[in-house]
Amino acid sequence: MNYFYLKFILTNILFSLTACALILRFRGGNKEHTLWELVLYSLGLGPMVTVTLLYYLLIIVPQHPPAFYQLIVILLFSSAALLGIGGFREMGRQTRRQFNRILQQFKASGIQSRLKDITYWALIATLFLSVFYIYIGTVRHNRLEGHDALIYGNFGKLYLHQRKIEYSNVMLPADNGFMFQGSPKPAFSLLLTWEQLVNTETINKSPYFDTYFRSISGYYGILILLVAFLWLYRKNRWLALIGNLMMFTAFGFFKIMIDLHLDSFRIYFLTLAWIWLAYALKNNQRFSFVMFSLFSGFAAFAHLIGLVAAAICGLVYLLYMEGTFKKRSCRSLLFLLIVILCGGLHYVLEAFYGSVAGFLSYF
Amino acid sequence: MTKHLTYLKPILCILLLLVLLGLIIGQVYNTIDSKQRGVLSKSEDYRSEIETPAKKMLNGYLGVFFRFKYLGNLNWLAVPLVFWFFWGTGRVPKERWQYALVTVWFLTFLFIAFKGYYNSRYQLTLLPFTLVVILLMLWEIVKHQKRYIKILSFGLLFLTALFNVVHYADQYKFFTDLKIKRSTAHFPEQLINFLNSRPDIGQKRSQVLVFNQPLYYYHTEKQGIDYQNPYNLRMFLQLLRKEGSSRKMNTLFRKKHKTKYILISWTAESQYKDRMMTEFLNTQCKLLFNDNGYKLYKIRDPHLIKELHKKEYRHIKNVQHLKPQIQGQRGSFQITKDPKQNLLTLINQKPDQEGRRLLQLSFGSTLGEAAGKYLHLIVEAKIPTHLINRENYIFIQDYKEGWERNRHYYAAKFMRRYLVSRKIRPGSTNISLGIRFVPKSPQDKLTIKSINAYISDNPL
Repeated sequence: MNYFYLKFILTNILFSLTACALILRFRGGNKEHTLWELVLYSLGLGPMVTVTLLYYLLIIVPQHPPAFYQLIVILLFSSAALLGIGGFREMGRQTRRQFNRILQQFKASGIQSRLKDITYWALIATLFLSVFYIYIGTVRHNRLEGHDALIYGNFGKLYLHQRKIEYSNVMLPADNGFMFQGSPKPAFSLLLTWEQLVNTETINKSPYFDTYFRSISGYYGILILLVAFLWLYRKNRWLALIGNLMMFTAFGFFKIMIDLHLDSFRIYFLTLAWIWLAYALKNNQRFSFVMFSLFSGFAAFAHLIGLVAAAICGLVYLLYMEGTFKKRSCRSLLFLLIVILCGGLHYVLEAFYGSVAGFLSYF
Repeated sequence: MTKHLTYLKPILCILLLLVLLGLIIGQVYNTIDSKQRGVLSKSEDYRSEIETPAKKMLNGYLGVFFRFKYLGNLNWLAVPLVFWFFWGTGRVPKERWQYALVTVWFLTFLFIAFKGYYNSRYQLTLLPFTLVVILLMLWEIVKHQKRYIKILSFGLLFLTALFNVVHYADQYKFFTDLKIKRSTAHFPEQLINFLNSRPDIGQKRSQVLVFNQPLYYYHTEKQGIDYQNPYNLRMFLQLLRKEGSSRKMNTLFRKKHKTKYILISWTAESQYKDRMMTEFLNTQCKLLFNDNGYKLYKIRDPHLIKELHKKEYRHIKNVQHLKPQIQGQRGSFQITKDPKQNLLTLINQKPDQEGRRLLQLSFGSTLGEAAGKYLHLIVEAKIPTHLINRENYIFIQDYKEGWERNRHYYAAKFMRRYLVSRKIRPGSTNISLGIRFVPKSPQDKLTIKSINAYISDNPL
């Protein structure tokens, strides 16, 4: 379990905050987004950027010892943290400012208002504590199962053992005999590879060997709830509470929280790609455009539906953006390039070098 | 801005109308088609809850809106609200990003509706976005209304959420127990521990044939042969054959492919029940483990017939020549014996007055010596495909303060060998071996080629 905490704090918190610092550092004059909004969006970036880096490393410099890949990824994030040091400062400044503002508001308010606030946040806390109960219970008690989730897991193990990612038309079994006639997307599997790079020797020695991998589903499920909360809270805080309740009581959403699958992971990136599409068209700023392209790319990297959605997003952006045809075309090409860099490369390589069982053959 | 975007409204309108038309035509086609075929759907459709044309339409193609169980009760509001937003809010200008989001959402919906309609997981893709947009739009409607209308609206929304929880309470409870409290274990923990603790399983010379069980490769560090492995494809194809010798297959597995175990789930087993696989698993393998539907078989070494020739198995001679006793009969049957071909044929002639058809034959009134020992019945038989069900089987039963019965169901319309074993309870006062035949129509026929029985001190 110690490895789990290490991986979780490193990947989901520290790497994500590094991504947020970089975003704050390079967002230019864009002040449309609050700190909380950007932090929330960045919390999903840590794991995804990590697996994207790992994907490139396993393609470009394959078959090195596990420590090599960890070191490179940590070094890259450390460099990014140094580069985004200004972003960290801003994060600290804004956090202090917001905290003071909330405190002053609370002090200035009357007893009735305070009681209302306390009741509201107690209800929110109850809701999220229930979600946490489900999250912790699921991660602690469930072994990975279900055909599709296990296929992703097996690919994660395969990448770890081979320490390379191959593209080939020839379907051959792995060393342990594992075979799969399909075209699974590597992002989710690489989360297991990343987890196991630390503790290769403990695979299947303990039921907790893949805890981090199993925690992903619930983690992104909570992020989706928080994003929904944020958007509804802007209109009305009771609407936010009801909205979260409605989302959580949809049986399908409850299922994706407990199923240890990739659904919440892929849905999170697709939803954010759409949010950034709206921003990109609304303010026509480079920052929003880059964020839109990044999230579309990650959505494509996560799943085939994400790839289709990214293609649709690209076309819609071309159709609806303001500007000359030349500007639209340049932006669309840039969008395509960023999507390919953020994971779309997988599909390009599949198209040229072959997938194990048919290009785009399976979800 | 809105001036040069006006062309988008008719485009959206036409797109929506086209989809509506397509859905209506699809609905009509499905209804006619299902009536023509008389068969509604496959078992996968039942699992996906899209087994009837109406369900296929509502839970499948339009599942994003109407799959209430998985996606909540509000999503159907998306369509009227989008219409209201674009056409019902008067002259309030709409922004480009609003049109863009509707287009992206709509095209993704189409993709999911036609490519991923069978799986609620894919429909879930749109849930967070759709639900938030619906709530934002509902807020736009009530935000300027009086306070009590807002409270009433929130109350209604709360009730819809509550309704879902109450309506599917048993499902929530089941999954909470299953996955969060773990009061009902479902993972084959014992099987995985067994595999991991046995160094003789999953080695180069004792490989495991793995039937679509990625769990084996994930939760163990053992060697397996995947059923799709091209180098061993012959082994798999043998199992998929309709005819052939299970004895030869046993040799092929053990000698050529060094395969000694088979890992399969009950779902895969039932999927291939009319193939050679059923006979092979039943007669040429020993069931080592059955943990939550995951089964580990060990291939017999030597094969069944050779093993039965060993001293410890005593053949009960002439079981098939004994005159069968009728244990139960509904309707009239013709029982013929062809001594030349050594075939016993049971043919239904007509049902009884209540329309029932059943014949149960028993072959053992002198089996008292089997008490406390293992009794094995091996029958070679064939039965029409439509009678492969839970009513037609071979069995061994004993009586001690009540009947207890072990059975094996027929699985193929071809001549196949079936084995059933049972440890007879000491002190059993009545023991019988038998066959049960429940036809559905006149001329339904059960043909039996041989019946053999053995007694042993140990399980087979």
